[in-house]
Amino acid sequence: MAHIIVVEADRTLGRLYQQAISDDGHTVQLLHDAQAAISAIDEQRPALIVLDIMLGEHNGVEFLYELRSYPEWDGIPVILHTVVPSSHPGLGHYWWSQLGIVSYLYKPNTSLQQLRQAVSRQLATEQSLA
Amino acid sequence: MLSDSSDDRLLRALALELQLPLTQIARLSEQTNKADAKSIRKAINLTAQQSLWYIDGYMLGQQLSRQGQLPLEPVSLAAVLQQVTQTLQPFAQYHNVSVEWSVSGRLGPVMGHAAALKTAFLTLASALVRVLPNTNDNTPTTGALLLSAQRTKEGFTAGVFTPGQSFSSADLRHGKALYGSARQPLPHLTDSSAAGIGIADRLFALMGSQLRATKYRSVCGLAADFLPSSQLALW
Repeated sequence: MAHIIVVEADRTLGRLYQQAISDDGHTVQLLHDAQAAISAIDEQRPALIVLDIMLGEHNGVEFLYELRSYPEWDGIPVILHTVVPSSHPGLGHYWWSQLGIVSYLYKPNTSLQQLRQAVSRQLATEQSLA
Repeated sequence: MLSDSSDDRLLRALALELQLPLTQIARLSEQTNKADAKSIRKAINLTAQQSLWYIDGYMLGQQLSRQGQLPLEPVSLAAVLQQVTQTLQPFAQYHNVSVEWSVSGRLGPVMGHAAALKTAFLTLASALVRVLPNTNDNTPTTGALLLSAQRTKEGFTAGVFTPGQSFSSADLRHGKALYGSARQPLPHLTDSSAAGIGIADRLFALMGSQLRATKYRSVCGLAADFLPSSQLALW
């Protein structure tokens, strides 16, 4: 089972995501801001990060640039889970590969089941590559 | 091409804002077969309630702004703050935030619009409940919100205050200019579209006031100024 970090500003949703992914047996650490997430990754490297873009103070994009500035964290896959639509000019696909985004989920339309499936799929992909 | 009136921008901010509670309701409703279904139903109810406050506030602002000159009448600030505090309690408790009201001394009536005042304070306070750091992963902590009114040289100031939030009027002005065109127009205060603050500000503006950043007993907050009613009052 994997250690997963969920970065979600909203506490209600965060707890729901944490619970849903934990139901599959994973350890899920829930963080509400970018700085706390960076510190948590420094303490224990996660197998996967589920990231919201709209965070207080430092947003998800700043978090990604910070994350990718450390070579040892380069391979940590990130699932973007956000209300920002993929058609938003700031979310171009060139940007995804640059910042190691492996999947995009539009938050309002993604059920807890779909989130769990996306996490499981990505972890399986990572295992097959290992 | 969309026009860009302040009303359009506020409506866009409201639409962005409502994405969150509606997403919460959608995700919470997936959990109603769980053991704690009762608390989930309560969460759905309170989340929906806040969305309805926002919609009511927006609709009231739109309706009153079409009336032109708003008929102001003597309104008791203390009574309004007390009512808002009571209405807000269940929602705030759900978010681990305590809400209290405080009025310094005897306040006479102010010139305002009772429904607009109540809705503005409710919308503003509920927006601030959502931004308080109420829990972390392991240790639940309690945020605190104070609805307060006090006498000033010109009249009265009333607002919503919270410790730990520092915010300037310049930030507020800048954020107001960005409503509807930025997802986080007030990043120092909230990670949302800040529609609740915008709706409250519009209602205050209709009563000839405006929201500003201020301090009260060393806690920061957002408040508006009101003129006293000239009717007989105890001083």
